[in-house]
Amino acid sequence: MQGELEIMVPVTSKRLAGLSVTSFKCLLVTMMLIFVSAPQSDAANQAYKRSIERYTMPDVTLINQDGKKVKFKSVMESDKLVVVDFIFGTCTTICPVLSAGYLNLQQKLGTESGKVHLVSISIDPENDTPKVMKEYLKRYRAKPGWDFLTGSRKDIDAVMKAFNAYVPDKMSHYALTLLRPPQQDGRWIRIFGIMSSAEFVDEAQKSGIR
Amino acid sequence: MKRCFFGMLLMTIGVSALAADVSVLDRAESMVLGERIYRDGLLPDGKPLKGYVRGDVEIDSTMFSCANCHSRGGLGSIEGQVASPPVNGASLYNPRYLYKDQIKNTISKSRGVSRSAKQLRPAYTDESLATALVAGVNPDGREFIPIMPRYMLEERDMKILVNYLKQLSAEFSPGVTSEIMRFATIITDDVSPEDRAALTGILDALVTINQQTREQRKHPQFSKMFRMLDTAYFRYITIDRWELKGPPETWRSQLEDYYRKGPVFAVLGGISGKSWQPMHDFCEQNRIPCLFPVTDLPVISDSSWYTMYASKGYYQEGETAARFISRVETTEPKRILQIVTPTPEGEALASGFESAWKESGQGQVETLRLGPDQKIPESEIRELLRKSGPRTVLVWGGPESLPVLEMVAGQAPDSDCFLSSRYLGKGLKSIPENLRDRVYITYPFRMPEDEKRFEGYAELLQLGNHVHNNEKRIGSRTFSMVHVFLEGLKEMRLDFYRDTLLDVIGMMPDQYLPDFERYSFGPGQRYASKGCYVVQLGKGTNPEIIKKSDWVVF
Repeated sequence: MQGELEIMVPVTSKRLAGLSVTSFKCLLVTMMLIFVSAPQSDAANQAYKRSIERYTMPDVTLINQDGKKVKFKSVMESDKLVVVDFIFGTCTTICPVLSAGYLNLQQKLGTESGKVHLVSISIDPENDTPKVMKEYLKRYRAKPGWDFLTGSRKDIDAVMKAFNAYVPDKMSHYALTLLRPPQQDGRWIRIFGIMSSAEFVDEAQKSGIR
Repeated sequence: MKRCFFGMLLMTIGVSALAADVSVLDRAESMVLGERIYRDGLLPDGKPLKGYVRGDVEIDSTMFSCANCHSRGGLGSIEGQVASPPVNGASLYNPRYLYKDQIKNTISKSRGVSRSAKQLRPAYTDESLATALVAGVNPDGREFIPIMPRYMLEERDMKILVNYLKQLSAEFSPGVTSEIMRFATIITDDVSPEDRAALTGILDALVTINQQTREQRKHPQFSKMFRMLDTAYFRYITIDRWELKGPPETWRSQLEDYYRKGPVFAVLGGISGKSWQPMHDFCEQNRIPCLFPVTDLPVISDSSWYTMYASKGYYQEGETAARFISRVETTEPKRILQIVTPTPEGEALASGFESAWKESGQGQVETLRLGPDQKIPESEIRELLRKSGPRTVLVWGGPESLPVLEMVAGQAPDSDCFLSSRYLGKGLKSIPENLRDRVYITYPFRMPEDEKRFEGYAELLQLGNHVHNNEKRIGSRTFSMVHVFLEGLKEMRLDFYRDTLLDVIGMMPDQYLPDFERYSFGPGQRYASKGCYVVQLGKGTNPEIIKKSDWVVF
């Protein structure tokens, strides 16, 4: 495995300089972060973890960037390829990279991008109002087919739990992308880590765009 | 392979670019342009700075800039389990050490001694920094993690960005020495002596506790490690009282005078019954953090940086009412009549309502503003109600506006009314019992039954010295400020930069504090608690408060 995966160890402090003096684990993480010196991987050597999972979707109503109510379960049961990630509007590091991935996917797929429904789910629902979400999508030049959903804390928690992605606090979230092939058999591809553009297109195509 | 080649190509461009001649820019101009690249991702020609992450994911820095990950002050962040190291001048242009060595070095330096510690990386130079930005390699030749963008920067732009980083958080902000940290609190002369004491009691307790911790190190059981940390960290906290007198137009110059006489690192809370605008503007322009003043009339802005508020106050109540009404499904278009008492409170409620109502894309709002005498124009209101029949009536006024409820009930009995509990104050209980079914109230605090577990927090901080009546929540709100400030101070560590204090507070996990539900943070988020309940009243003279909405209404 590459260093990129191994650095994803939970740490509590929000700043690198702030790592505890006494905590060996934190120290180790610091060392790893600073000394990431893994040789460049070639395309065949994936830097993310991939697994096949089965999830049951909760029957909740969320709000999209236009302020419209949407039935989450039916969005997830679309006959398109559905891609889900968890982000928030003022996120500093991981969400912008995930969103750049969405944007790149839409661009790379070109006319085919209409066959994919990209869904970003807010993990900071108090702040992510429709207005904030709309501005966020605009900033990322999102094309139609990319929705940002918010909702009550209770419903968002239910969605996170359904994907085995629950984090009690938004600051401790991690990079996760979930793809649901259109065959409707409840199978999800769970991607932990960040994909390159080529890898994302490849995963989308393998999942079946139709 | 492709990525390697790309990196090498970029490295070549970067190095050759820096070797070329560059035009000399005015220093201030260069800083402005550098700040724009760093914060907004815009190059001097107005085009976005571009780069690549994970090898081939193209990014445009107007989506996320350097400041996004490395923070505005440049001291870095850890988020989403990814660490973005410090990129401020003081960090980049000095060798990087392990944290424990950084502490020991600081202590040695203060004693005029130098100690040798193993470097994690050597200091950057302009050239090695340029290489890092384009090729993602540090001065040791180690490669950055793949989500650090490799930027496409040309010669002149590189020079501007490098110059900016060199100056970014290079010297500590004013108000801090190796001995003391100087703060102020702002109190305006409309505040009663009791309310003033409720605020200063908490601040005095903070100062006392700070002094007491200095004594701890004399204790024989105070461990060597803590002594070491204490030597590096401890500073006496002083809190000046900036008392503002006379008309609000003169407050700004009074503030400037205070600041000239004694520059402070930050403003710790404060209190005013009037709009916080003059204090907000002063802090914004002098780049002084102002933490959670006790005000319900904050400045509503999505671009201001320096003042953090507990909530949007009255404005947030107005917004909540709009969202609550817009979520009710009806077949007919909604007709809204807004009756506004022309006070800062009434106007803030109306303005919050109008903004959120417009956002919801619903119909027009008819607004009736009372005259300066605040007399209720009964015939005009009856006429308006008679003309358009049942509707929703917003009564943005204090107890003196309660007679409007009777008029509405008499003229258009199927109408609902909305009021602000904060504005009504004790008048809340005077809402006639027979009208309560039709009256909805914005309630900006945690439900009384849930608030019980927070009682005693503020008293704890005051260590029993003063027990104030906390009906106005001044002590408890100031306590919350102190709590967030101390958490921020802890995370700020030895990086005494004002922007860093705000950066680290922006990265705090959610906090559960008295008065308001869930304080949540995020870079640039300036109103910590985002919600407000909509409630109705039960029967009787001491009515039950019945929750009709979630804390956050979408």
